Amino acid sequence: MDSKYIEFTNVTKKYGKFTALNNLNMVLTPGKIIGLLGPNGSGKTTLLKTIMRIIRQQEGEIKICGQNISYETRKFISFMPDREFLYKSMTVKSAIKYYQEMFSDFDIEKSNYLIQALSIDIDMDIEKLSKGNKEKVILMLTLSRNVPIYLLDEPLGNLDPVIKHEMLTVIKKFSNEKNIIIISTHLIKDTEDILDQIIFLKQGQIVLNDLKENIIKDGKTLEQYYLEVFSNV
Amino acid sequence: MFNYIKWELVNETKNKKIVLFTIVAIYLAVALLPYNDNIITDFIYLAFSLIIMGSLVLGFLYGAKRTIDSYKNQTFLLESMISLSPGKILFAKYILAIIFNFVCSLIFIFGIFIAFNKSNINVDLIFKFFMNIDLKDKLELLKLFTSIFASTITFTAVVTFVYIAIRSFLPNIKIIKFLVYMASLFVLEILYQIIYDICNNSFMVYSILMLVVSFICYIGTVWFIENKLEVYK
Repeated sequence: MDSKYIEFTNVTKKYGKFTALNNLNMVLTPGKIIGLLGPNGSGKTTLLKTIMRIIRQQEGEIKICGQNISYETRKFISFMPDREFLYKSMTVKSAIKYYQEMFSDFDIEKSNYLIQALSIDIDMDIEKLSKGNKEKVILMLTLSRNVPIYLLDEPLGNLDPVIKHEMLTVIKKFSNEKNIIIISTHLIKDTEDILDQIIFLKQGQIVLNDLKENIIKDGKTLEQYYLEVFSNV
Repeated sequence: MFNYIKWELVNETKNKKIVLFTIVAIYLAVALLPYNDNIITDFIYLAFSLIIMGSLVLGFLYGAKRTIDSYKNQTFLLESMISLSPGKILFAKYILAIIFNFVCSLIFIFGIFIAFNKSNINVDLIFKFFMNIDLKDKLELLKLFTSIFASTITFTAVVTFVYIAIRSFLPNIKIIKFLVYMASLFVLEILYQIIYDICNNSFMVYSILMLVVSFICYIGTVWFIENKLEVYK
């Protein structure tokens, strides 16, 4: 497989007059957990949805695992959206069965491990789960697929610290040299420890794309660096 | 594709089970209980009449309504993750539309039989009448049903095409479904006038031409989904 898992060349995406992604260029290679950081409205979700081809760029070229982006390149990606998407009538068990039947790369052993690790009750109706438990179920389903690219859109929003810790632990455990895990978030403090590479997105442009060790080498924390870049004060 | 159809059917059945139980209860009440002039039986008979009228309309409309709804509800995001081609998913949606229209038609037919029975119209006589008509008339009836069937498919295909085209060009506007149905009926009326002249009163030619129109709409809809349609919200 091409070592450039995600390749953006001069990608621009506009919603009417608003430019969500502005002439973006980036190459992402495997073996890293990448933090896609930026304030609300900076283009994080648009970037992830563009990689999934749920939305389309107006200009530029995108390649996923060496192939020009199309609905077929979705097979390389497991996506955790920032909103509910499963059938309302599903239980956790039936959601697992759905993933097993719809995704040939679904690994039931990984799923069983994650159910244990995240203490998920598989007999519960998804509608009746708390927000935190819903997030855990969706993370379990997303990570149980054997794919090269995982996209997690705001996976930790409004969760209690225990659930956050559980989720970050399994994300770290499932990262390996053959995959990329991209986490879109603005919760820098919570995610800083597990990130290998950082992308700062500001008004649809990449203002920083580097390994974490290169960014924080002068003793600053990632959050301090983030505030320097994004704060207007 | 069959897995997709299966999950949609399971979900729809679970979501509509209360409606289905209510219809069965009202049908049983009308069929088995004697009519007394009181407010309860009046209410049951009013509900019974509404179900019959509603199922007649929905026998034509429900498949189309459900198909366009499926492109804006939360499960569209789930569909966007699976690597089935948009063409296969749309084809599956057409099959589902046919199934749901058929179910609504069955509800209508059962209701009519119960109404006949209650009005002391001998249902056996109606059966015997249909059984005794000669083969030529049976074939004509079959052709009539085929042309109605073709019309419902065409209606679903045209409605979906119009809806997806509007959503592709104007992704953020609130589309009023009623206007989509009206626009589609207008298109169908024009098509009907053209096809009626061509088919020279032949039900079969009419059905074939309607299916050709459906196929053209299918190709157009798939093109819009693959090249233009986006999920913004």
